[in-house]
Amino acid sequence: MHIERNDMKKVTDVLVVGGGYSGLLAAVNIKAKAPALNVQVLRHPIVDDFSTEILATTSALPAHLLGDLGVNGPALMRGIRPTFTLGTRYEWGPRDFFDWTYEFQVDTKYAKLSHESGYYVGDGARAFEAVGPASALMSAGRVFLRGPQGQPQMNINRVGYHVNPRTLEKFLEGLATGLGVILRDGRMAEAIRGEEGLSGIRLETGEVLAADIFVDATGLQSLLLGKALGTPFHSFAPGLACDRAIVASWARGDQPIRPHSSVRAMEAGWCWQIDSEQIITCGHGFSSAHTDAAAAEGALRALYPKCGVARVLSFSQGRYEKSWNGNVLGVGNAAGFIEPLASAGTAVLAFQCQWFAQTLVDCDRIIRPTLMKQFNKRWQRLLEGEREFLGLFYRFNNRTERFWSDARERSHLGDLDIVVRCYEDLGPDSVYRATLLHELDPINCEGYYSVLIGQKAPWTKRWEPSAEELQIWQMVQENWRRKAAMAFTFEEAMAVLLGAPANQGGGARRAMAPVG
Amino acid sequence: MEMKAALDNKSGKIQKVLVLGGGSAGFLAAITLKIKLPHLEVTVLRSKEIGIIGVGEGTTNTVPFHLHDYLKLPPKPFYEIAQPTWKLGIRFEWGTRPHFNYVFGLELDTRHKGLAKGTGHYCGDAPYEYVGYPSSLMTHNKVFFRTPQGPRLNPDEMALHIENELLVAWLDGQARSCGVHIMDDTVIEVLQDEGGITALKLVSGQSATADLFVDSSGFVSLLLGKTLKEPFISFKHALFCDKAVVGGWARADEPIKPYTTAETMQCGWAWQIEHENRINRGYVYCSSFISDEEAEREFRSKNPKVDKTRIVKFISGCYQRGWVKNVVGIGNAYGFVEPLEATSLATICLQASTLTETLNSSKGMVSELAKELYNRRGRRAWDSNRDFLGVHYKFNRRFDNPFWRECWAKTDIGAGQELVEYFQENGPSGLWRVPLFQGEEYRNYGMEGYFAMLVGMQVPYQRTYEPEPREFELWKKVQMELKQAAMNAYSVKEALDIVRQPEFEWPAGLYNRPQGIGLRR
Repeated sequence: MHIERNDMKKVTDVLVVGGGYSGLLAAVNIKAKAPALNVQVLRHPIVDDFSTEILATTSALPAHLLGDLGVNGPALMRGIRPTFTLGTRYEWGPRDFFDWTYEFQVDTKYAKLSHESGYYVGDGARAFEAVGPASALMSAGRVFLRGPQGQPQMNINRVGYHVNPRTLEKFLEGLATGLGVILRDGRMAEAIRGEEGLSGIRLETGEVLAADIFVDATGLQSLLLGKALGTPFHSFAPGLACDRAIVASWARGDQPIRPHSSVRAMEAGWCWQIDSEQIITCGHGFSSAHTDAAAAEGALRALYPKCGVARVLSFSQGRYEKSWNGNVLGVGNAAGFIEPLASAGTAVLAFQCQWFAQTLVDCDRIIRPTLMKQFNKRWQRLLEGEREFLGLFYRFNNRTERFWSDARERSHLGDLDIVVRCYEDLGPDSVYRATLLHELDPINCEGYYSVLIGQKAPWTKRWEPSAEELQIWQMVQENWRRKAAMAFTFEEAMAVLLGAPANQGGGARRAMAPVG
Repeated sequence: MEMKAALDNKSGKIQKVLVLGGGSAGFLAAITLKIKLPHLEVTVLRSKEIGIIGVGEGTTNTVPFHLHDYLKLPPKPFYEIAQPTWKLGIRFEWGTRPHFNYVFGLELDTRHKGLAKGTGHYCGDAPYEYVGYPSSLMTHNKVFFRTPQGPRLNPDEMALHIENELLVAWLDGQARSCGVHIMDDTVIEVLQDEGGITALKLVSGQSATADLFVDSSGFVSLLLGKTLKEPFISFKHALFCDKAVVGGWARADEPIKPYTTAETMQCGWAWQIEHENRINRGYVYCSSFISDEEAEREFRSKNPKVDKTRIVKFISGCYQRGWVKNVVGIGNAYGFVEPLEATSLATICLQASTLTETLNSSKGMVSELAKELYNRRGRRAWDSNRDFLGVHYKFNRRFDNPFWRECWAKTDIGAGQELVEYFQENGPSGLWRVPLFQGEEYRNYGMEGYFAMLVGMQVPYQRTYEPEPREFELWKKVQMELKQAAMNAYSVKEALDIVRQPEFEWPAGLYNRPQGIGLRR
């Protein structure tokens, strides 16, 4: 009854080009889920990438490492020494600040209140503060609430990391070699075209490495997916106009560690601050059409007088048409790049690595076109979703400089347009969530409404809470403030997390994670 | 009635709702609105001259959730008055297998512990009678597993068979007790202006007005179709049947089956719905391939006990929009597809709850955008029904004749095409269910629904999986356990006797579903 095509070859050899965290994470995923495959990582040096001294992730990366891959928690803490980020605090728009966190805060309804929390923050005079536990913790400079037994309440789906990418790579190398991934040094000279994409990689030594699948982890250069295969690139400019960044850092000293990333709108772009134990990093993303590097560096130094030597990074925002093209899978920046305003990079990377590996397992290593099609479709939506999310920041900004008026005009909302129209009609209501948003939209109403309310984007169907409801809302906020004041500082939390039982071997779980 | 009400209401806020039609659609819409939004004044206008079309029907599992979770109406009185029986799924006598079971719970899109692949992979060419709980029960004509505490009730697996007259009687009572007004009268003229319907002139000489008119007038679609002239989208490129011959007989000693049967016929298909005291059958056919007389003959030859029959004509399709100006069509007045998946009552419930939620979040002042979203959602639900039913026809290889050849060649399965292509390569793998099922209306059938039909009909796929002997043994053991439990389970008759005992209480919270994606504190 069933048709089996005999001409289809089973994948046996995977070659990852690029030994940064993107390539290593791909290798770990593939080897952990399909141990029968030969997985090799060629540590071809990555140049001209968007590289910062500290990487900020969303909650997707911890959830992937600890959840999907089953990495031991204390081992991870010891191995990568992260600090914790509950979200981002934006000094952006008419308020002093607003937060987008990995908690449900504005898109939550308390049983004793008639509307979702977003309505109580409102688009008027009330502050975007202590809207929920994450916001309250961010204001208190603390990381985790105290649980009933006094333990830190850390939910791996609600916290991101600030992590040194080199440390992360060391840790992933350990996992990879533990699983049997071969790491080798070498420089690629040329990618050799084959029938379905590539047939091999020629090294500078003349040696040719063959494989069935090539993972392109060469960063913005996209040596395989972009350069060798000529996959078309779709630019996100001019909607996302930034194409340069100045980055720098300084030793933290006794400055407290902020449990969040910080972002501030600037004259022709925006600045970030990311804290870690040793250093604090900062950067200024800008549009080279609107300002120059010297002016941007001046603005960055005015804001962060302590910062040391600065570097300039340049980049194009956009994505390749496909992340998986023929026998080449582009991961991370090699497939697409978006400025880190919402720290999307590692979330997209984790998706690519996890779902590619899952696909290989599920199809018994015989890849058919519909699998690639669905992979690409899901990845495209993910990246386009991040692009549209950033569109909200630019569409609703209230600044007058040319960068900002251009940004407003050119901002691209795509599928979010209808979500915005609904918000402008009803406010932060969840009634159409199921109609408007994909079930697994990673940003969801929580993210969209935080950014809209955060910028005081108004809506038509006015509704003001009664004095009585407002009092209840203030009690809710007071409750979070009180809990946050007694919460764990970073140092206290880390001591507990490191003190948990020692890791048994430190390897990633080999078992396949449940499908879906 | 009060002619001035609409004029007096200068705020534009919807306060008065008139529901045209006293069938299940009209009453379900009315009680949903009134129970959830008690400040509304809701009136059902029903005409004694129009009888109820339906005899009895099956539901999907979402209907009880609408009644007992969304509306919080207790099951006990519902069972006393409406007297439903249970439906665990549909037995399809369809495709190349003797039959297969389509159930409401999850079966093929699951994975048993210790097995390498999703359950669907173990349902290759061999018959599969024991795939999960509901299919095992169906195989043994049983409805609930026996536990020391009594029947094991899983609301996700329980849909209903229900006689229309009893359902309407229950709805009528609910409407009265929640404060819906019921008016017996007949419309003779509909008055409108550019804003929509202004008034309905009635036989009694009175007029009825409202801020919002719910059109539940059935196929006539008096307000949405006839008056506002909303364009009708025909589904004739996907669903070719346009008539049904309907009949039934009083149950003698036939056991009550816990499922609906859908039997392939020469030029369509026939349902068998199991009421407690009556068996209700109908043959849905395509009049370009078979005459009424021939259809009747074929129907009667398979069902010698059928008493009187009648012929129903229908057109599958829906109006382009369900909400136009101040009119919302609910039920057949909005659209219709044949009852192959028994979606009618579920569709009504979805429309009624979406209308309610829209009015609520709009604070009674509905923008054009809100209507657009309502219509988008409604249309997606219709399209997903059409596509899924199309799949039933396109791949049914039971009979080879001109009608079925036409179905194989010409049925347009729309968005279902992508799913089928995926299946034809990868088989019953749930890996990419997320991008394949965008939009919650598709979730009604989901991967499970598509797998049930595609695996059931033995649609070929490239990727096969040969279980190892160890796995095969394990799978046999799983099936044996299911069989043992099913043999020992309650029949429908036994279960009805239990729930009818005065001391029987439906478990509290049985129908409570977690809500939404956002956290509820």
